[in-house]
Amino acid sequence: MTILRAALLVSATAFAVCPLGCGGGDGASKVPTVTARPKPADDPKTAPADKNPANGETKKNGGSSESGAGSITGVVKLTGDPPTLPPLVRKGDKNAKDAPVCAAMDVPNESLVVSENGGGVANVFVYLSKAPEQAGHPASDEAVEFDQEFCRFKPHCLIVRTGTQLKILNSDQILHNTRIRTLRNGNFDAGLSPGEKEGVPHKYGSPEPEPVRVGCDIHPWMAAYHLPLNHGCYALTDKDGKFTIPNVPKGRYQVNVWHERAGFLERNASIVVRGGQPTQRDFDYQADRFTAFEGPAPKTVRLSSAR
Amino acid sequence: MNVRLISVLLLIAPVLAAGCGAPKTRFADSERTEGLIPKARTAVSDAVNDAFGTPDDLVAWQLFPVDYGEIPGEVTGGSTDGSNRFAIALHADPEDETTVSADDLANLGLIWQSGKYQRAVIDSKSGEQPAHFQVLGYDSDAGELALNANLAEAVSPGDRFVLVGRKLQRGRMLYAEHCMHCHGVSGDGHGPTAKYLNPRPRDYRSGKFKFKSTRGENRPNRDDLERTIRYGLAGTYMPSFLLLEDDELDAIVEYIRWLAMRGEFEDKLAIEFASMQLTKEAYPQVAREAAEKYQDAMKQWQDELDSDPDFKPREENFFPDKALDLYLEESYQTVILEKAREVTKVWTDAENEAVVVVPSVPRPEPTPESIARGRELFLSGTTKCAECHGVTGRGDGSQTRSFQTNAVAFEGGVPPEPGLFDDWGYEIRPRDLTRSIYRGGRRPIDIFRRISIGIKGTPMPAFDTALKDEQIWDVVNYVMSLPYGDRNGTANSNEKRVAKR
Repeated sequence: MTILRAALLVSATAFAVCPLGCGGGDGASKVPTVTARPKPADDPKTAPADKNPANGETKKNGGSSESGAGSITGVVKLTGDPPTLPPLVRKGDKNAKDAPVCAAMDVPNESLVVSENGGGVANVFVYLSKAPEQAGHPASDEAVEFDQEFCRFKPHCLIVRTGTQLKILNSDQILHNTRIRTLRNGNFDAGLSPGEKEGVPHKYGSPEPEPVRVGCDIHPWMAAYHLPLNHGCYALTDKDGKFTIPNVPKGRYQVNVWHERAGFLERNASIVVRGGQPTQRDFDYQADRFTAFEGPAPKTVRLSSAR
Repeated sequence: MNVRLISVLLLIAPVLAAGCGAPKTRFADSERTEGLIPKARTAVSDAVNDAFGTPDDLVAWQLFPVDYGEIPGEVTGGSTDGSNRFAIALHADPEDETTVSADDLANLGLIWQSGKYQRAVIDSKSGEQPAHFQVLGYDSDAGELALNANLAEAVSPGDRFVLVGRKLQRGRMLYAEHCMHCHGVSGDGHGPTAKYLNPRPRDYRSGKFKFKSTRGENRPNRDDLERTIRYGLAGTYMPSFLLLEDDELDAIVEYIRWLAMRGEFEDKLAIEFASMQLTKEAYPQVAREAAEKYQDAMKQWQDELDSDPDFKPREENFFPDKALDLYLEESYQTVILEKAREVTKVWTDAENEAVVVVPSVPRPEPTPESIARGRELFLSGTTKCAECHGVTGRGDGSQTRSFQTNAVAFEGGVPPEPGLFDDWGYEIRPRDLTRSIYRGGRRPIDIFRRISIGIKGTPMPAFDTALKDEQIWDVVNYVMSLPYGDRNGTANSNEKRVAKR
């Protein structure tokens, strides 16, 4: 009996004492402290700091052009048998969405375009990770047009400089809704009226580390890729897989090669550009790098009679 | 001896030992931050902590467009060197008759606006900040303020200051009481109740708010947030908070904006590190390949190596950990300020009157002609409303049965099931327009705005570029007539209900 009484006494004391001491009972109604932090002095509007100092050498090397600027040329090739991709929408397919417009012609699958002879891969993004602002393609004030016709984006791949005005047009007589998901530029979504001639304006404010996907919610097969950059040293391979980045000051750079099916084929590969002459750099890859399985991950179904 | 006594005491001992201290609350890191390597993750956490603090220790950074609640005041009696008390007079709102009590000023931050301690500028490079003064106590009878730190040099009468943070404090406490259980401590929509709700509570951190009056990708303005809280969202679990006082609602709105800015700020910083491949996923491979690439570069640049014995490719261009060290040392503070300014701009722009969608023409009367035009548009290929919302407006259109490639939620892949999905990967059904339940508000202007701006975070697109205002009004008239039956008598006819033999 005394044990029980002792235990009861101890526990009663514990529960009585507990709420009083021990750091206060209710945390939620404790008034939070506020630390006021004044705003910093307004920095004068200087050029934005290097966003990715990790990639690429700085402009120090590119300053002198006593031997003239060089350039980077090359070809991106695929070795092996590329898959033949059927068109996304066949001509005359009555079951296609908006068949009168979208099935008026074959909508080719542009995700892998390989030239017949030589295996050159088209629509590959080749760009320097970091480059001086004046190098490469010059910045222009003209607006760049991005169109869609017969349910297909034109062009399929596009590189723009940040701050360049982009005009999104619609040459189809049906509604399209262009949706762009980016990492640093927010999400863009606009419905385009049929036959939109003036173009919906859009601008990329920040460079992206990787090309961004442009899609249409209404016609899910439509896809395009945009890459906003803050310099001009970029190129898209043409139908033979060839590319040229003009006007690159001599120096040591790091180059990225990206394709929509393979992702980054090269990331920060080093390249040296000598003044006054083109630097030849070819990229050759096996076909299987371009044939990743696309689609939802297969579900695992466990067959078991054990419970 | 007394095994029973000992065992009973052992059971009670933990209760006594643990005590009842209040658990410390903290903001959770976002998923993107958690996916970074530890060093990058700490860098992000620390920066966000410096800028926003924890729920118990808030930081009111004047850079952000948040009304923290300011009480200006003036020193009336000087202090002595080294003491922390001095007499003050508060310039409270002349219309506000209530006297300021010690509770109102508890734990507020203090910023000097004149006198020796005025420091409006902080060194943006090193991030050095002036000493932080906080209110320790306020003796309202004597009119004396006590600070948490001693003032090494005395303040003199006439020095002005402002007490910052009353609204933020109140907002935080009200939020904890009314909002946190659904919307989560960090405003991430993952409160304890959230998993039982459909649709999920709003995740403030993404900057995507569904029902707002500002066009395009702009953030909602204060009116939108206040409207949502005050009237709730019909048809969802978001209740109406009409019973809250105006100033309480005000405080909650500011706190929510503050939480949203915190989330966006954290996300931007985490993206910086993720784009340098400092995520747990990408980093191991990059680190592995780094050594190879370094050797490769050495080979390539053989000429330079031969001519200049001191030449060496920069290690930080190849080894991500060295790049991170250099980045944290040199660029990070500037980037933090830059991202904070981006967040500031985007939330300041939202308050601009010019971005509020105001129809250029007034709403026409819902005449049969207007409704007929609206119906034409609804069913046409120009708008494709019927493809999602269905020919009868019941939300059963053809898109709900087809596989989408949703560029935002599924990374270019195909969702596992047919139908429409929102940006957070949850299944979402188009609104059943025949029910007369409009989540964003049932005024005609609300429905106009839903069509014109779209609903961010969902597949509902913006039609301000595709339709003229008159056309949108016609569609609004049609939509508002749907719950009362299709007046043209074709779509909702009873014929379909007859059983076929």
